[in-house]
Amino acid sequence: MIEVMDLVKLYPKRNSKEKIVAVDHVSFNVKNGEIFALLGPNGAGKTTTIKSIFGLIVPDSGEIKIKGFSVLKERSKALSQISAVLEGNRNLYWRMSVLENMRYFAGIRGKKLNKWNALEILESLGLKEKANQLVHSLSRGMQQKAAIAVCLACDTDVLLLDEPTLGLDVHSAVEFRSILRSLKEKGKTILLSTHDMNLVEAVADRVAIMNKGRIVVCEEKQKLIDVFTARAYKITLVCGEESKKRLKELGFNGWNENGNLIELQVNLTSSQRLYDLIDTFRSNNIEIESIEKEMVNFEKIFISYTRE
Amino acid sequence: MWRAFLANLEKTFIEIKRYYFNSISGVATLLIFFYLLFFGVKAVGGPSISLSSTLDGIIVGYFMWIVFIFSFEGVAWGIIEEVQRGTLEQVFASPIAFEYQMLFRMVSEFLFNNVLLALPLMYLAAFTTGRKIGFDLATLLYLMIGGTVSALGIGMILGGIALIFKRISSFIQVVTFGSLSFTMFETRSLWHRLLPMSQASSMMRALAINNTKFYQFQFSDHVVLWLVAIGYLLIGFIVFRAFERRAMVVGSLSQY
Repeated sequence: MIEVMDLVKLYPKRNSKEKIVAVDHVSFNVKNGEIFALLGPNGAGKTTTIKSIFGLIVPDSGEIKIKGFSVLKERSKALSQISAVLEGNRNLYWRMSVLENMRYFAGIRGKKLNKWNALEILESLGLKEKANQLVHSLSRGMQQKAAIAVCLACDTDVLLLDEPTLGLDVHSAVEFRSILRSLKEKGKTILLSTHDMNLVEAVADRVAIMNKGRIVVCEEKQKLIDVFTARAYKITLVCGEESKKRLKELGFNGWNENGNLIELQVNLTSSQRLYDLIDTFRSNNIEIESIEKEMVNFEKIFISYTRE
Repeated sequence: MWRAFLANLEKTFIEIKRYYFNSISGVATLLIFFYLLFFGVKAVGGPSISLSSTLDGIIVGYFMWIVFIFSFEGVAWGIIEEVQRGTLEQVFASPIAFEYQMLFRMVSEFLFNNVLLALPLMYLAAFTTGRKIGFDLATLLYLMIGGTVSALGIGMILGGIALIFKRISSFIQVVTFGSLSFTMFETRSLWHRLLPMSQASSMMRALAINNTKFYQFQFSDHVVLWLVAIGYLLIGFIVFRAFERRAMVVGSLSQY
């Protein structure tokens, strides 16, 4: 559905001839009907990538295709396949009603939106009663839904959502997840750029994590969680001062102490095995009280990939 | 394309309606300035001078200038507002190119601001000052369109500059007052006639003073009118595209 191939974007540095690498040879593809999450810390290059896909930024090199149409060479055809919510809810005319916004944005894309279709979209988002209300008078959550409604009014198969839960309260964010799931059920392909790890954990099929302009991992979300879950342990040790000294010599630095017990969080690398670790403790006379598999949330995965 | 035009037409109408205070105060300001100009000239001229054709010329000249201003300022202010609101990128990402969207808006604004607002206002101003505008409405509309097309070209250039520099209100003001001189030029030489809006204004004066109808103008007048109009519109498009490309390369479309 969306193919990003070897994308590079450089920005000129202010008062200098040097350039900043915002996106560094990024490639990924979003498959038909999936929710693909693009994650990364601030300045990782997510927004530049998203805006390049939406034809708002011209990359220095690389290629982007939407349903086979090149954004650079067949801009009009490519952009007619995709609609977006950018920068949360700022992409709406606040002194126009929800319905007027929907009609306008569908219209400038050459699409006719009849009132019944519009009301159907609004009903599916729980926004039907607000159809004629001016956007500025809606709550933040409602405005966010209105932005999605505008996106759906454009009647495209591919949706691009940049920070869609930004500023939403807990209830609205939870509601938003079910909206995304229902869009996926309707066959929409969704590219999601977000900092909201709960949203990613709840709805994404695949995840790409960007850091410093590069993609550091691109994998199915569940596989990532499984891999991390398989390697993360909480090991409780019975320790005296001598054992603590040995632990430090073995390279363990941080732990929680509870009386004479020590709780260690261990993330095994791919070459390490739990048995080897147990042998190490045994040979150093460190008594093991218990071993538990750690529950991994997506936040931990994200941090482990983007840590300096 | 047609749907995009209708969408822009509807939006222009909605905004005029919704920002009614701004719309009404705009009309009031135009009328006040007109009265100041009109009665100022009358006072300076004194009762002994026959000013009838000059006064008709002032009425037409002033409103012609307003029409041009509406046309080219609309694009630039439109882009600045879109950036401030955060909607520019959404309009930009339409499969129908942004310059066409701008053109549709300018045409919409021409219809609402010029045909439905400035034109009746001109008759109102003439009526309230005891003048009677007896010239041909079809010729007036023809010249308004011819002049406005070249003003749209200037608008596209300003819009392109706004895409890159964002805050260009001072520059817009300079162009606004500069355009007054374009409408005042005597078009004796070809160079003067090639200035934007100049030929249309000159023909407008002939209409106001001699009641010259559009079929009574020389063929060369029509040729220059439309060559200038289309020429400036084309230049506007080219310059706008160049600025647009630059904004997309440096990623400054939505920055303000």
